[in-house]
Amino acid sequence: MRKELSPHLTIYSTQISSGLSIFHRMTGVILAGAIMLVIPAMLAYTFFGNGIEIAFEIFYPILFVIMGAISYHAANGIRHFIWDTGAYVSTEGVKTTAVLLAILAASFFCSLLYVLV
Amino acid sequence: MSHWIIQRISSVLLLFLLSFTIFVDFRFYILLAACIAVHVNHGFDSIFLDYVHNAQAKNALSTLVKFALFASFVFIGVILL
Repeated sequence: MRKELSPHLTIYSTQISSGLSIFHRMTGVILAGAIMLVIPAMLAYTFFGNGIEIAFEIFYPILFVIMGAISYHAANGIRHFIWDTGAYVSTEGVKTTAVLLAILAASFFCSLLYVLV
Repeated sequence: MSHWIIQRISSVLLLFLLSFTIFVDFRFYILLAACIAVHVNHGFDSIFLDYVHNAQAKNALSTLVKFALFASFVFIGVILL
């Protein structure tokens, strides 16, 4: 029988800690996809598209997804730094930092919105 | 341990270099690209380590990520620089 080697999504019920951790990886993959595919594609379209500009209806949703992903990923990265010091490594601590994470990610997103849009 | 240290150092550098390169001096792009490459590569390696159980497939995927990162950075660099 083939056994699972690591905490797989199919084994555990969703918790705040695992959910946020999975979302951290998902946003990382989204950002990597943005770097490897979306940004080069947009640049190629802009520079080699014979002056055709990307429609706002396409550009802004992509920009907002990237901004959201980078805000969450950076905020959760800072949360990992806090955990690295040994602080908040408990069930209550995880819940507390989850709230702080939401506030920090929202403030990052608003800052990016203010600077870029 | 070294994986953890590399991931943390590259993330700290990323936080500073990302805004610095975009808003202050674009010549730091090469350093930023190197940091992103290290961070993304290690991030994907963590995912592959958890979910890909075949060593050859794991290495192939890791190489693919490295190649894709390198190609996209060269492309973005050539256009923007």
